Amino acid sequence: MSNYKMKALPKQITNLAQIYQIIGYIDNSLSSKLKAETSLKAGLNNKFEQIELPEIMQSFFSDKISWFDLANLRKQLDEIAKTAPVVTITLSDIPNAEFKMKVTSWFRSINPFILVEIMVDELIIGGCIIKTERREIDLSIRKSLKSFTGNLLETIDNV
Amino acid sequence: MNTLQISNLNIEQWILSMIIILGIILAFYCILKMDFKKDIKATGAPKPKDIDISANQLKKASEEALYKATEQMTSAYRLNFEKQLKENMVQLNNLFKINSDKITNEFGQSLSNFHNQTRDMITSSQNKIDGYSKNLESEINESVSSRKKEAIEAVDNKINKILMAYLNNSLEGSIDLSDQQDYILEKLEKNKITISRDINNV
Repeated sequence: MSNYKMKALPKQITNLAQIYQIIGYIDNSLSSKLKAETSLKAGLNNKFEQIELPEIMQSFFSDKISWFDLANLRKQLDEIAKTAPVVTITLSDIPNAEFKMKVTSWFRSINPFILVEIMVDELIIGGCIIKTERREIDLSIRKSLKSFTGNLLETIDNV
Repeated sequence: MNTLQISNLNIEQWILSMIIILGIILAFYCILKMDFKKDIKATGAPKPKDIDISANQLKKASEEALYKATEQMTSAYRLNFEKQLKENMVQLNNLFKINSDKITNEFGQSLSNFHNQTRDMITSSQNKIDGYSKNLESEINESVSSRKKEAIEAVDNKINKILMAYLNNSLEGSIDLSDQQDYILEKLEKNKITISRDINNV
């Protein structure tokens, strides 16, 4: 019997929507399998079968998986969706997959199960804004410019 | 009370005067009668002429005595009246002096109270005016400060918007996000401790 245990979320999986997408796929697969097995009056077995995985799930399993692995994965993903910390990063443009993975990897170095929600706001011009449950850290160019103009006005006011 | 005393003394004086007058008249009458009887005894029956003379003398003497008594009574009355008047004047003067002092003191006290009340009112009014003035000054300063701050913020926002609009228009599409990768990752790395604490709830 396989005892699949995730050590970290794969960097391809960044946000909660992807988690639920995988959970949905697993549920559909398990449901179909159960229906088929039930009709044969047999339960889930631990035999390795060649299960075709969608691209998003290929990051979890590099080899063959059993239905038990899939069920186990579903359980772990459900737990992650409920308890994992979530961070939102706002960028000035839509990031490509490479940049998305780099940012996600960076956050996973802090917490291996963190979920990264990426938002786009072109008004920030550049840089990023990080929002956690506790606070918002503005590292954008807009913030720098505001500080600059603020200092300018303060200087003018003091003259 | 003084008037009553004077009136009482007048009545007594008058009664005394009347008694004196009647006494004098009675005395003259007795003397003349005795002389007349002596003359009759000595000379026999008086002659009508002598009787007329005696009657005239008696009348004259009576008038003189009456006049003198009247004079004495008037003089005594005047002296007494003057004395009483003097005493009453002294009493009246003392009374007036006492009352005058009392009135003066009361007036002085009232004046002093009024002065104190007026001074308190002026002081109170001055304090209120000072307080109002300070509040007004404070409010004006706050208002000016607030307006100044609002004006600066308004200018700040305008400049920000202008700059942002200009930069967005100028840089639209020209800054590729991939060019920012290093910058963003560097920024994240600089704030790693803070972000890590927030994420892991340390």
